[in-house]
Amino acid sequence: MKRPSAEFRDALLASIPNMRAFAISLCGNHARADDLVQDVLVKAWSNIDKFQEGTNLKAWLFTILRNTYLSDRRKRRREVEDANGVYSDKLSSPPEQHGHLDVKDMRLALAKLSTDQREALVLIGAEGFSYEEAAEICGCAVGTIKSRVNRARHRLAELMNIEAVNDFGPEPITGAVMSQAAASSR
Amino acid sequence: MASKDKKAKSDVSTPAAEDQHPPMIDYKTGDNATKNKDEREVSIRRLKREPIALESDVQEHLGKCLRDAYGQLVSEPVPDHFIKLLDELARKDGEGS
Repeated sequence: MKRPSAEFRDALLASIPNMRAFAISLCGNHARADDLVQDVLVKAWSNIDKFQEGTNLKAWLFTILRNTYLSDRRKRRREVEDANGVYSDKLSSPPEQHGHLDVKDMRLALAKLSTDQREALVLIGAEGFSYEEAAEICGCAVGTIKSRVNRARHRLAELMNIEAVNDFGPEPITGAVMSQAAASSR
Repeated sequence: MASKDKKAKSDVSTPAAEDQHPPMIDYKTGDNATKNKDEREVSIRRLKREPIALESDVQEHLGKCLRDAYGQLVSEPVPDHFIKLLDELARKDGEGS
């Protein structure tokens, strides 16, 4: 495929919702996520000759997205030390998303994971990629993905578990939880 | 004097003192814990039981929460500017060749 076809345009369009969701999961910021997706669309369009037809387009796009995100982040870090600001927008979900408490808790818990763990968990647990595909997207070994997902699940369980205990009890350990969460987030 | 000390510190095994200090105290202090082995085991179970029981609940809950949270993001409408961008790319491509 040398020139992008109408089919390719439609396929890109169809993949935008998932790319946005993944981008938001990575950077925690809607505006930056949209910039990322826009970059990916342009890159994908001009590199279409590198895409092997018949292979997984979504995995290809997610690879580009992830690489773009990481190189942007490196640039940003050089400009401003924004390690904490990376997830500064995590609470500003669109208005229709405020309803469900569990979803909000999940967002907060996800935000406390390292990027490595979060992306692995999202690719496997939310996007439904295979471990092999996720490993290819992240440029690492299958075993690495498995262990990141495993650690992410335990960490999330821990974070959600603690919140559940608080839900049942008269706020006995809130202070400890908060400081623990603060210490472990980065 | 001696009896006061006794009451305050070492006489944990009397019923009255146990009422004041639940088994968890015995678990923490080495000597008393060995003295009251049964109580210590009770307290260990008490400490462990809740997280384990919750863990499976939360674990089960976890996957669904993740998919719900992510699903909300996926179901957001595609902003118009993406569609415009794709149309623009397609148009330029048509002109270029």
